[in-house]
Amino acid sequence: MTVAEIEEARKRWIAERPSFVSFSERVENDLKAIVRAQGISAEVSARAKEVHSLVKKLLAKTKHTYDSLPDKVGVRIVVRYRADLPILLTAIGDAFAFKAPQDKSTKLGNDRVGYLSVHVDKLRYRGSAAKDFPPRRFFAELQLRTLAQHLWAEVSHDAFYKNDELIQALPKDLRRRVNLMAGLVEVADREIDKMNSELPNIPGAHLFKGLESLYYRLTAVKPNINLSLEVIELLLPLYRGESEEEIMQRHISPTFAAHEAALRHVYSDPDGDYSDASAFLFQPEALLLYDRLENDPDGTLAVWNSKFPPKELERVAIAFGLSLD
Amino acid sequence: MLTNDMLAMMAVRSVIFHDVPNQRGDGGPTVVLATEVTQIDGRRRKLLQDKLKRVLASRYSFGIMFAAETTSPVPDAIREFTTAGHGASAFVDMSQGLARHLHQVQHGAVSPGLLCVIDFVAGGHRGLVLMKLEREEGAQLELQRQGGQTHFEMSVLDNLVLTDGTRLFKTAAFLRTSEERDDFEMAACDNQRRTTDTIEMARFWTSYLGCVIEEEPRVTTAKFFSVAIEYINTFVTDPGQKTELYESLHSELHSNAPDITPRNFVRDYVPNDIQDHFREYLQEKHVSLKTFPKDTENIKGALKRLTYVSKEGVRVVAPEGKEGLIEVGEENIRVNDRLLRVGQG
Repeated sequence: MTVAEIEEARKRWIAERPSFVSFSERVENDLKAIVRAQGISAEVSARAKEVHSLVKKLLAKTKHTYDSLPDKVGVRIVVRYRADLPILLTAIGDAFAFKAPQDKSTKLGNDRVGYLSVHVDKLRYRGSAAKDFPPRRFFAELQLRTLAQHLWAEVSHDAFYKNDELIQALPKDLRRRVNLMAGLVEVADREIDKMNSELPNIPGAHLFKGLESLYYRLTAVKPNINLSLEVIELLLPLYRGESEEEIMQRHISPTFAAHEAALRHVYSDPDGDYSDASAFLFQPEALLLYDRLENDPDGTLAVWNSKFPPKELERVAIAFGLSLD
Repeated sequence: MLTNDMLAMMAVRSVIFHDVPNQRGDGGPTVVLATEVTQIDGRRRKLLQDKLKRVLASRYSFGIMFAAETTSPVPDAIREFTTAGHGASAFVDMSQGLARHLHQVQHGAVSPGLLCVIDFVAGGHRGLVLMKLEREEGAQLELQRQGGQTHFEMSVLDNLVLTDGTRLFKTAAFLRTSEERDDFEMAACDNQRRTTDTIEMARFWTSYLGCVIEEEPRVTTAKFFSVAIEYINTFVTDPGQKTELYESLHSELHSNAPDITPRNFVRDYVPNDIQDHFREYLQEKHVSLKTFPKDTENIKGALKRLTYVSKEGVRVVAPEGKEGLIEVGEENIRVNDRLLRVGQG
């Protein structure tokens, strides 16, 4: 691009950026809803480039023009497990149009390691939402990563091993060490995924995972797992010998399905004041408490009071439209 | 009946209070009507919502419906206001009308207090809440330091309402669910249903509201009784447990308490290992676990039982009025029924 074209691009971006900020906010909210609907824990962020950042990009990537620049709006979703990536990609595909995603790990082949993530170009609205943000003008670049992939991307961002091209230019020994390090991150990523599917044989773990997948459909607030296991252990006897799988299938899932609209309201009430909310409302076992409070309030109250403050249970009950009285 | 989900989604919009003293023959104090709504911030809104949820979702709340014939202006005021398009001034006017009516009918042993009217929404529907609040006393302590000495100064507050100790109070919520005239989900609660209260006092709140209890108490009572008996006969196999449950059920129905709370009955009398199943069974058969007024009119016969004791110590307990069930001869007693089970104990 010429100096005049760069200057023109700067002016256009200053004028147009506010509408792209609105676009990025809408995309972020919609993607958060998609992530929630899958019951997956993920960090979702979207932002329109700052003016100086856009100019830098045009100076560095000379093949692009202002109109063709793919990441004027950048979106990032960071998940915990590799297994979450294809689930989210499919769900996003149901709501958005995009070019066939590039899996950077596939691009590297099986003999090299390096930057790994799913990269989606030209993420754009379709259907009625496209009226507000016409796809020809409003599109974003989406990076879908695991936490480990995110770690690699972040530490390598400012280094000389940011991409394959730069890595190839490094001295042999340094290149080997970079590859080893990236390999370590990938091994860790795969192990984290595997360990998640091989749940530890501790009481409450299976139930926790089941509750967690429903909980993340309601909120992205991270729970305290130690507290969760304590509450689950306390309440399990109320199910009189049923297995954790049975509890999910026969009690929690039907209760969740029957009250999903109200539960969504409780966790996403725009006027909701959570400053006085129970500490247990933002824990997956809140759904277990809901089920027990609805079906056996007296039994629940009796076991709860043996370990936790009664006021906390009362707050949970009231939030769900239940009463201990 | 208002569901728990509706209560979970309840959001208070506007609130107004009116001071309603008792009506006296000599005139007495007059009603003090607020001319503006009370300003509420998030914290106050949440306090009101939480108090309402706690009382309306409690086991002591009950379903109500507008009475077919009533002189109370309350039903029409609610029908009118909850249709779309009413603003703040209409809310104030309507609530003043409700307070004036309360003042007209509130006398004798009914405690004076404040009438609180709340405009709310839940799940996209519009509703109104009426609460009658009584003033309570409390104390406030303030730390004082003077000349190196420290003490707490105590002051008495006699204008408290909705304190943490107020668990039950006169409340009613009306949520309009469609534009049809009487399409509402309603629930009420009343603290004045103790054994010592007169029937007139017990009925005061529903009468003021122009409402009646949703299901006739004699129908609800009979349903609870027959479903409980059905459960005991079908699922309780231990003869000792069975007898105890029969006895508990009968004593519950014969007691002086004006209400029955099935949830409490299960908690207090049903063995732990079958409590869940008993509750589920009651709910499957559409018996609410919440409180309802007791009326044994429809089961008078079934509640009367006769006990026959034989010379050898055999005891036969049978419901009175079932002709031919028990035949007593000179040398034998004949029970004309099918044997369900035999057990020891």
